[in-house]
Amino acid sequence: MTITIYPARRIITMNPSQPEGDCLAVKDGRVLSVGSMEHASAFGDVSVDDRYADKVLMPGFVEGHSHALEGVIWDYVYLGWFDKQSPEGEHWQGLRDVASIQERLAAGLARLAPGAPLIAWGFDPIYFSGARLDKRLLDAVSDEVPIIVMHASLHVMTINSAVIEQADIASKEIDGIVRNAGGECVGELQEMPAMHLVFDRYGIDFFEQASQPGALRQYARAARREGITTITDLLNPLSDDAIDSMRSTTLEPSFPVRLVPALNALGWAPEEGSKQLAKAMTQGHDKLFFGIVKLVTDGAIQNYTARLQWPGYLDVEGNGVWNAPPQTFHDMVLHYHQAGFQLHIHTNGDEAVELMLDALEEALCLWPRPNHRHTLQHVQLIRQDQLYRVKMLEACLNIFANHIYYWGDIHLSRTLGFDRCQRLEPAASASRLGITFGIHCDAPVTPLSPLFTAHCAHRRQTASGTVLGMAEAIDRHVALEAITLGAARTLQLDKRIGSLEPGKWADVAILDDDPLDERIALKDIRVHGTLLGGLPTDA
Amino acid sequence: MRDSDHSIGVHLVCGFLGSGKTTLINDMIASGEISDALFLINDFGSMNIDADLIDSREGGVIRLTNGCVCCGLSGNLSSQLTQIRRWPDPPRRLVVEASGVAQPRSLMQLFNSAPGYCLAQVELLVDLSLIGRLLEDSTVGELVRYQVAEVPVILINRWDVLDEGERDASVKQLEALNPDVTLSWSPSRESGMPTPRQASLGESVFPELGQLVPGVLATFTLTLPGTIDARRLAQLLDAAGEILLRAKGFILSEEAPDGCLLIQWTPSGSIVTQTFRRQAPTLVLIGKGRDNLAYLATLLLTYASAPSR
Ligand SMILES: [Zn+2]
Repeated sequence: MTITIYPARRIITMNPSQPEGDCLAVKDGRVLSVGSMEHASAFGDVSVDDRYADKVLMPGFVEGHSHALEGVIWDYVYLGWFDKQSPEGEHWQGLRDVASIQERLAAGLARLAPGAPLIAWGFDPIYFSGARLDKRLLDAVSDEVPIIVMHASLHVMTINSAVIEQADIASKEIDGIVRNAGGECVGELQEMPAMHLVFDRYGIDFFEQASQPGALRQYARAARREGITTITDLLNPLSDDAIDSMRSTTLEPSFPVRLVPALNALGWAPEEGSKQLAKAMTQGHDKLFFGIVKLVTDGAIQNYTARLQWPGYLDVEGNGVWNAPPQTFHDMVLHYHQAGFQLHIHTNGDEAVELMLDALEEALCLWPRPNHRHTLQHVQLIRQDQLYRVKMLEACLNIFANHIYYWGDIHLSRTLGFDRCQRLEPAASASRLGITFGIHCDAPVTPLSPLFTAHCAHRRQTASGTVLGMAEAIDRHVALEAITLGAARTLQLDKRIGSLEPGKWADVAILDDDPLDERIALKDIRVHGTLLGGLPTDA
Repeated sequence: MRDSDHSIGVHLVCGFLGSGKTTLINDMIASGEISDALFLINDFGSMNIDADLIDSREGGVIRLTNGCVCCGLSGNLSSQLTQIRRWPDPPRRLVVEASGVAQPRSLMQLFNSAPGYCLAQVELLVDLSLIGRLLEDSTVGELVRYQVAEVPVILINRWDVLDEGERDASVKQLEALNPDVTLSWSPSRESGMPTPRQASLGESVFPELGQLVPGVLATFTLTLPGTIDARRLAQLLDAAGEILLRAKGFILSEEAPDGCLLIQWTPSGSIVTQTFRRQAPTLVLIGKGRDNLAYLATLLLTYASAPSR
C-alpha cells in the first residue's frame, strides 16, 4: 500500500505528545505521521493529495449519545421550534406560530402519497404557552386526510378529526384522550395507551424503522455532514433483524461512519440480554461495535419526568417517573457489570444520578473491575458531591451540553430556577476533577452537530442569549477534546479513534475554519467533509 | 365494531417487584389448565418452567407442549400488541406480567380499548409482609400507593409470615387507599415456605437439598428482604457445594446492627467481613444451573431468614 499525504493548513491532533502538525500521512487506513512531508517520506513512496491544503484537520468527531431515530424522522414533516438541517443539507426553518405550522402541513399534504396519513414531528408545546395545538387547527389543513403530529417528547400527539374517526378514538375510555368540558375529543392523545390506537391503526413503529437500512444510511449521511466519523445508536432493540440490518448496511463501502449501537437493557431479561449482546459481538467489524448496554432510569427535565432531589421542580408539584423499580436497575447494573459489559446509564435528574451511583458502588464493591468505564449519560443536574463520587468510582460522564441552548430558558424560568441552572451540564467541574467525559446532542432530541455542542459547553448561552453559570464553561480545547477523544474514551474506542496519533484509524473532520480561532464561534465553523480510514467519504 | 368473540382476552397481572407475580405465572403454566395462551413476561429470566412442559426454546420464545407460548415483554408494548394480533394464528388468551412500575389503571384502559383485545381479568399482587415498607419508601412509595388505589382486586401473598396484628394493620393500610377493593387471599404455601418465622426459627430444620443436577453456568441475584443468619447461610451454601461455585454479597444481620456483613463464599471456605455502612442486601450466586440457584435462593430465604425485629 502506498502512503497518501494530505497537507493541511493546520492539524489539531488531540495527541498531547504531538498536539499539532501540518501533513497527515495515511497508510493502510491509519495515521502514519502528522509531521512534515519529509518525515513521512522516510517510510517509503508517497503520493500527495493537496485538496485539503487550505483546510484545518481534526480527529473525526465522535457523537457518544444520539439515536438512529434521527434517520427516520426526515420521512416526515418537521414542525420544531428551532431551525434544523436535513441529511441532504436542506434548511428547515423553525416554526414559531400556529399559522406557519399549518402552512408547512399544507405543503406536506400536497406531496403526500394518496391514502397515506400525514405524519409530522418535532412540535414542542413548551414553547407555545397559551396556544394549544388541537384538532381544529389541523382540520383547517385537512379534515379528510389523517394528520398526526408527534410532539418532541414522543409522549404526546395531536391528531385531526379524520384520525379521531378512523381510529375510533371518541368511543374509548382512556385518561390520555384529552376532552373538553362537553366530553368531546380535542385531538390530543397523551401516553401510550391512547397513542396505541393511532400506531395500531396506521401501522406506525418509529423504533422498528430506525434499524432499517434506509434509516441507517440517512442517519449516517446526517452525521457525516457534521464532521462525525463515529456515531452511537444509544437505545437499540438489538433484535436479530436489527443486528443483521446494521451489519449489512455498515459493511457497504459507501457507509460513511462507524456505528456503536447499545442494547436496550429494559427490553430484555438480563440473562437473555447478555446472551444476545454476546451473539451480536460476533457480528461486529471495523465499522460496527457491539458491547455497550443502555439503561434508561428516569425521564426528561423539560417533560417534568426526570427524578429530582429536593427541592424538586420549580413550577409544578410532584416528582418524575422511574422506568422500572429502582431495585431492577440495581440488579441490572450488577448483572451487566459482572458479565463484563459496559453500561451507559441515562440519568437526567440528580435523584437518578444518586440511585445509579449507589448501584455502581455496590457492583464495584462486590466485583472490583478496573477500567470499567461505566458512563452516566445526560447528568444534567449532577451535584459536586456526586461528581466527586463519579471520580472516585472511576466512572465516565457524557454531558448533555445542548440543553443549555435549547431548554436553558425554560429551566431558568419554569423547571429548575436560578441556582440549579448555574450547575446545569457541569463540564468544567468534570474537567477539573479529571473525570473522563464527552458531551452530546441526543439527536433527534436536539440536532446533530458536535461543533454546536462544543459551542454550548464553551459559551453556555441559551436560545434567548442568557448565559447560565459561566463557572461551568470549558475552554475551546477542552470542548474539542470532549467531542473527540473524550467521547471515544466513553465508548472504549480511544485505542482506535479520538485523536490523530500514529497507529490510529485516519478518521478525520475536515474544517474550512480553524476551531481554535477565537474570532469565530465554534458553532459557525464550517465542516468541509470527513475521511474515514483515510478515504474521503464524499468519493 | 369490535367482535369480542374474536378478540384476545387479557389477564393482567400487576404488582411491585417481589410481589409474587412470577410465582403466580409459573404456577399457572405448571398447572397446565390454560391452553392457547400467550404469556408476556416482564421478568423473563426468572421464569422457572418445568423442562417436561417445554416443547422448544429459541430466540427468547418458549413454546410449551400444551400449545401455550411465553415470551418477554419488549421495550415497545404498543408494537408488540399490533404484531401479536396479526399473527396468522393469534392466541385466544394473553397473560401479561406488568412491569413493577406499571400503572394498572393505564394498562387496564389500554387492554379495554386496544383493537383486537379485551380485558378479561386483572389483579394486583401484594406481598403483605413487605407492603408496609414499600408504601413508605421515599423513591417508590407514591407509585405503589397508586398501584394499590387503582385495581379492583388485590391478591394477597405471604400473609402467613405475619402475626394477626401485623396482618390487620397492613390490610387496613390497603383498604384506606382503596376502599372498594376486593381482597383475595392466596393459599398458604405448605412446604418450602416458612411458617410464622418467630415461632419456628429456633427449631427450623436444615432442609433436605435433594439431588441437584448441574446445569449450565449461571448467575442468580437474590434480594434479601430482611436480616439473615450468617451461620445458617454458610451452612446452606456449603451443602450446595456440588452446584455452587461462588457466592458473594451483603446481608443485614443482627451481628452488624450499624452496617452489614460482606459474605464471600467459595467451595474451599467462606469469609465474613463486618462492614459499617448499609449496603442494599443482595446475594449473588454463581453456579451450575439457573434452576438450581433459584431453588437454593428459596431455601436460603426460608432457612436463613432471621426474625425481622
Ligand atoms: Zn437518548
